[in-house]
Amino acid sequence: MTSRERVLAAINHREPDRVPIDFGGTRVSGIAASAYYRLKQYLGIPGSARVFDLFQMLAEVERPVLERFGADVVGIYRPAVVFGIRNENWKPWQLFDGTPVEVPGDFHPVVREDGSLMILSPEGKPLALMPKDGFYFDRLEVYPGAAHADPETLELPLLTQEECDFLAAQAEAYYHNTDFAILVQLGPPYELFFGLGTGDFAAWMVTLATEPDYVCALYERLVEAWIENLRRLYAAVGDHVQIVQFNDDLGTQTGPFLSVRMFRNLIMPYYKRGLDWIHEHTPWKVFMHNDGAIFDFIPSLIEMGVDIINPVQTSAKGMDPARLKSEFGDRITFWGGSCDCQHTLPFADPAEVAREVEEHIRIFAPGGGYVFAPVHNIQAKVPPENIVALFDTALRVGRYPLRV
Amino acid sequence: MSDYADLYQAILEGNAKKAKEVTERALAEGADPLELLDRYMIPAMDEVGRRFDCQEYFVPELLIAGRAMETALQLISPLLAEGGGARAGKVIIGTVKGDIHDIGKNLVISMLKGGGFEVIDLGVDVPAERFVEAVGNQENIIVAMSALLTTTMGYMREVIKALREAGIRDRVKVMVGGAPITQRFADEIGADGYSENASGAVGLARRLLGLASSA
Repeated sequence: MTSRERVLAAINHREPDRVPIDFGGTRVSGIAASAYYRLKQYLGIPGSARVFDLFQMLAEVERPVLERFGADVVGIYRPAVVFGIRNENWKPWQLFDGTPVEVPGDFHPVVREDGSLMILSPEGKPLALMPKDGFYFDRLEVYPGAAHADPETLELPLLTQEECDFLAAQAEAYYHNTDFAILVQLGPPYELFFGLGTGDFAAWMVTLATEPDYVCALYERLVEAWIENLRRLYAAVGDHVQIVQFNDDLGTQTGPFLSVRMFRNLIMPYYKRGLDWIHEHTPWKVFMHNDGAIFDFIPSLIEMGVDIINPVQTSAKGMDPARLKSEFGDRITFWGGSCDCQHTLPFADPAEVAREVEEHIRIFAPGGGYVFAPVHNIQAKVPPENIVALFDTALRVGRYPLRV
Repeated sequence: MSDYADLYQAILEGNAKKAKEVTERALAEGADPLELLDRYMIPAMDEVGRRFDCQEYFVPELLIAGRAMETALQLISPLLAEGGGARAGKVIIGTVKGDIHDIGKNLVISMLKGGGFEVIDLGVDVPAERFVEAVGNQENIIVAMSALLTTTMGYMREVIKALREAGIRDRVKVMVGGAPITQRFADEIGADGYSENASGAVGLARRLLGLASSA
């Protein structure tokens, strides 16, 4: 069975030969560059770590590593993944913890007096900041929801022909030269709930709760742009891609961020419009990244056309694996849910990681509908022994028929 | 004193405009600002916290209630200061060094203010020495720390160590919170308290300072 067949079988709720594995196929199932560098050293794979996502400082997971861990999924990306910086002309650089990495040639952060790093736009506008000794860049931009932007005059990014050609070339190469399942991320230009509040989340929440007409006018524009982008993307990559990803954050760790009622009344109709377009015009499966305690939203997500839910943060309140599988296992695919990323994976020993992975696979894997992946990106400082235990246990325990 | 239950209702519903109107009317009619605070405003935010805890309210409702509370507070605060009106207590708060995430911290601030606390917000990426400086020679106040990341939570231990080295650890109560934080972690690093959410932080702050809960 090829990787692509394996992933599609699982998403179609059939048991493949083994549980499919995703490591680095998305920007939410990847690995921080410093952890990746140490992992490579531990595995005896030479070379540094290439930072392809400067926002989260994620490493590109290379072929030898994908193969070592049985990974089945790859992502395709635009020329500039974040901050408008093109991923080309790689140059050596060093993380705060001393890890040698490679970064794009046009990455020129300004070192500020307090030792923090700032990324500026070509016009000199502050885009992102990494505190001294920090691990990520955080965005400094104020997004349209937080800025209360005028929907009429809002300029929204549309995929250019160059971007489409770039994506098409990758999709075609992966499709013909490898058997990986191929994933592409394309949501609305801004996440309708969480992302729109970047820069002043509290202000955006107040707007959301008190100005429904404004919010709908903004959403109209965003969804219009989203569907146009989907049209362009599908024309470019077609059936070479199998999965399309979009993100939002409807959960905190202890409960829903907003009421299910508010989500259904205000937000869901707009997401549904985009997902309806996808299901009507493409064979793509829809992957939604949505952290936290989101149990109460899952029926609505299924109803609006989500096929796959990620990252399945089982440590969040109400996200008990057995309950998720029994309630929704026949209607949605769980992608993630492997091992608690806040306590077990960074801080426990490999035996404990393996124990938790085994338990979760036995719950999530029966009948398919499960793709194994870290619960969100593997963070800096996670020991390589634990990463090896994570994936090796999946390969060992995830063979169908499962021995339960 | 007349009945200004409208103020309670306006805050509970997150109606800032109405909260402002009622407060202005009440003050014009000679209402005692401290009584407005104790009888309507703080109880309204306590009820907001209760609804948040039992998932009738969520973050948007909590924030619009906080905004309505702030609107009313802005009108009565100058009068409270004149009359020497006592606040619930003082909290110095910040997201620790290396971490610039502030959504959770700001929710806690909103609820603490709603609970009548004076809040000094040190912002994000706050090094240990800034916490120490902010405490200065004050006592019986709270130092509250937030962290979103598994990579930065360890720094909370450094802050507690710095407070100890400055000889002021015993004069303050330390509370911690944030996505990866647990009660066990709080105990391990020698914090005095942990809350898993913003409304719980208010009750915790009151308990740590030995204040009776008004809820």
